[in-house]
Amino acid sequence: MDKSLWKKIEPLLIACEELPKEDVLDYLNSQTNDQELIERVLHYLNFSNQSNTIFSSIIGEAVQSSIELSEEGIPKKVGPYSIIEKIARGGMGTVYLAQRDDDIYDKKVVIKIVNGILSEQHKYRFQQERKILAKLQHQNIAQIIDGGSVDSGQHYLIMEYVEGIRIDRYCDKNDLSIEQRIKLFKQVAEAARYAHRNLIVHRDIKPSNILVDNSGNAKLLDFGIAKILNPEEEMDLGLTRTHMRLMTPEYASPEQVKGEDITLLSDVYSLGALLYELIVGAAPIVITSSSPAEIERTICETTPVRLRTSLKRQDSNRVIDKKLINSSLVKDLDNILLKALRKEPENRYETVKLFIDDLDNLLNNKPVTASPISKLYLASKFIKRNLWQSLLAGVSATAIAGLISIQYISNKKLQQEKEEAETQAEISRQTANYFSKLIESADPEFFQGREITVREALDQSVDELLATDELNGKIKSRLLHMLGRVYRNRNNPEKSLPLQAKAIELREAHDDGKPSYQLGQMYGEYGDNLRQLNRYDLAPEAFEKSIAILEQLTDDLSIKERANTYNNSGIVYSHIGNYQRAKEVLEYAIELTPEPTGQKSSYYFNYARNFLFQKKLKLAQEFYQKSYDLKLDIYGPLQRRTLNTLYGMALTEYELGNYKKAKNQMELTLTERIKMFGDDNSIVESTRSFLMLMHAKLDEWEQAETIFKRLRNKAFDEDFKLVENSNLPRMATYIEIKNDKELALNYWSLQLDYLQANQPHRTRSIHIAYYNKLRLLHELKKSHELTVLDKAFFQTVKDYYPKDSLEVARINYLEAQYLNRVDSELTNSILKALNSEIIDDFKKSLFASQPELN
Amino acid sequence: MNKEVTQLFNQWQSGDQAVQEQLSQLIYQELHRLASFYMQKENQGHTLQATAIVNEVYIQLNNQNLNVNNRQHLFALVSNMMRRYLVNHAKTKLTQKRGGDWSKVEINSEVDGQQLNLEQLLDFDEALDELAKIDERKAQIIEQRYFGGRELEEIAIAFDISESTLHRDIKMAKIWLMEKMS
Repeated sequence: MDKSLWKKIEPLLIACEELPKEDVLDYLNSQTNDQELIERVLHYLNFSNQSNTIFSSIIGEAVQSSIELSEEGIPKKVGPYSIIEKIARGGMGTVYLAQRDDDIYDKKVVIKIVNGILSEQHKYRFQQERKILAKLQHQNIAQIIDGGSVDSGQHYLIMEYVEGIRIDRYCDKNDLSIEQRIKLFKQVAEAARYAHRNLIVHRDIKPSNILVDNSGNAKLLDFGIAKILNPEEEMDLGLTRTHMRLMTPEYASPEQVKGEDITLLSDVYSLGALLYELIVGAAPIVITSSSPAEIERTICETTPVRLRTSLKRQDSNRVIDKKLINSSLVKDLDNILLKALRKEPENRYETVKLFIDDLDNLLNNKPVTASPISKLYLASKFIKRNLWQSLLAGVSATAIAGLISIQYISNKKLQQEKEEAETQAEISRQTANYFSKLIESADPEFFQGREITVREALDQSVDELLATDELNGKIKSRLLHMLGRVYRNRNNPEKSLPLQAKAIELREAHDDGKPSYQLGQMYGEYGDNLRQLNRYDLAPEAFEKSIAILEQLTDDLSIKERANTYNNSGIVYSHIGNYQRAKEVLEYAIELTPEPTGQKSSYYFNYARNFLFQKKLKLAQEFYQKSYDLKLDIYGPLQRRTLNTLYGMALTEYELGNYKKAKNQMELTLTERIKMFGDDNSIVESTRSFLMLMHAKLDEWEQAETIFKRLRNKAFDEDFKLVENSNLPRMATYIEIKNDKELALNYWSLQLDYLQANQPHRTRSIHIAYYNKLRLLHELKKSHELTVLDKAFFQTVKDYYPKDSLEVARINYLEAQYLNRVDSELTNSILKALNSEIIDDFKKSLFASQPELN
Repeated sequence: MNKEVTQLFNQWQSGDQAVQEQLSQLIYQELHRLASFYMQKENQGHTLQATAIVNEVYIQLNNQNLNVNNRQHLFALVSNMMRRYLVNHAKTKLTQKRGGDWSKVEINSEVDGQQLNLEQLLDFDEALDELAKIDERKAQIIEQRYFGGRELEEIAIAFDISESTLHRDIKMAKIWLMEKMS
């Protein structure tokens, strides 16, 4: 193709890219009569939607393949050794089997060639470390013989070749008893103890680093190698968390995954993990994620499952004598392991020797020094974790029956009517019976001592419960409702929804028009579940039904429930832009609720937010303050709920133009939320997104830009395909502050497309994205006439919101701009139409980019 | 960073061999970052595999008589080296597979899939050359983005264009290239 033709095609292509498909042909015909050119453009357009990642995958594949190729180039000789074969490629380098040429001794050796070229400084360190390691001479440590560098500059180590099999496989293959396993492990511990006396830390003790030969002698490989082969740890090549990738997280201590100082006590932890694995057949902490943050959290927060529990769960092909499970041997060993595996280094055995001594005590039937960990300690660990995760981890399935009964019993206490109480007792009894029967019949393994998880129990019970004829409608409805609630609490609203719907159906048939607290509550929870699922179109109806039922009841419980439903519906009404109904129901909620209660502080919070959405900032300020004062009293500062209000206050200050104050509040919120939820969390990211805007307004570009890049990396994959939309509005606003309106327009368009396709009922968010898109199109003077759709959008907004709303004012103004009919009179009349509560300063910025507030 | 690099180059060009070590380190880091760019989405343990490829490019680069004016130039050079390295690799590998070196012929379906992609790389390379003839800037942008793994901001700054122009350039270049390769 020649250059001039492409020059003609390109601008047309760019324009067509942004047009809806059906408008393309008309547009092209309006631009040119050259049919051949039009054909060409259309041909190119075919390629615009093809897979975006094709180039990355072509190149990625070539990179991968070239790595394999570079490995084919096995060196023939290293120093005086001839390579026999490649044994393995590990995380640190490539491993070869080799033999000395000159018959000085005919022992085979292992050569490890480090992947990477070291700087002068690191070469020196490498040599020093190698010399130290060469001094380690112990029957249970694979000897380092020599080292140096090959022609291409890579370094190598020559080590004793150990013929043997991995320690864990050795144990299983030879059916070793618990005592034999402990004795074998002691050899490894002795090796570590010897090295520790020379102040050398292994750093990577794990089953694959320990080989046992035919005579039962264990050898620990790669002593200290992790350190000398990993110069990057201190070099910082701009690759964060290198240390994570160079160790095996299952056996790594908390301080190691956190990148803190590694000490002799880190080896104590890894030894504990090794022994645990040899006894149980699985690592004490199972890692299922590959995200560094997640791994770190798992290692630092999960308590290993008690030995007894693990042994019970074991596969039948493992040979630990079941009779031993309740023995004192297992109990003491459990205490020993938990001591070695303590998260805090200072609580572990102070030395490997003490660890070994305690194992000797155990083997000699003497009392061990490791005492059971106090209940208080365990409780504090337990509370730190999510309750449901703990349940999942191993609470027996019968617990679910118990759990549901407990909810009935507590409801029973609140129920005043005698008849109802009797029914409740009957429900409790039937529930327990029903679930135990269900569980026993559902899983034959139950009888073999394996405890099934809550998840399994739940999933199995749902279908059967739906199908059963054994229970009457009222009880069945109740059980379904409870199961639905359990799924909701476990963050699975999709699964909960049909159960709730069925529960309502059964209960409605039973009630036959008579108002009941239960039905009101079911509708309320159903509505709230719809809210969680973004079904803002259906939720209001459910809420209104709940309200209509509960209004007929005057007992305390029903009133409280009604206030709760008012509140939840208020949240939905705010989000769909029905601020008037939101205000009304939230006022009812506040009215019905006594002070000081946590509920009331939340209702104030939602009430204030409803004002914030309408930019009635003075009112938002007033009620956020009320919520905040209450929360300070009830929960204290820096608590989760208190921070929610602080966040709202920061947003209000931002809108008021008090950027400094806003930033301080938002920074505090962010810091505390990171502590609470971890760094990699959607709430944390959206907090960050607002902080970015505040930084930008304060001209703190460096901080703002750092956040922006972070958010952008989360939002898009490497081919800028959208993967996460939630912070797009703030990113768009930020880009506009930076004055790149064109890119801002892209972001708003993406957001609009995403919402329309995936969350079509987030009405308010859609209106905001659409408004900003049209506004920017106009400001950029895109040769873009209003389409029929755009005109319809103007009308939609005018019909949807009250006449004196911000939304209508903005849309009128924009429409006037499009039609070239803006004059000062119009502007003034629009401003006048707006509620006087909108403060003057704000009016100025009224028509500029508006980040969507959350 | 930019200033620092320019200074290093100036010193080097004025005959100060002592800075070579420092500069090499820098180039090495660049290459390392780039290789991990294509590895990052994969499993752990890839860091050092990435290092293997970097070593080879680095050795090539080191043997060249470097004449680099600034950091932007360095980026461009590294991207181009990477491209040439991968293209050479693909050619070698394909020759072997086609029987150029009989001892290494392997037959299994996995290799066939890989071969297809290596051929695509050669097509990509050719198409990119063609693109350079009609729109050099776009070709360079694609080279730096895909072979150099450069951040978008950096590319925008290097070419002194806005990010939205950059997005558009990439989009147009992709369409053009895909059409060419189809």
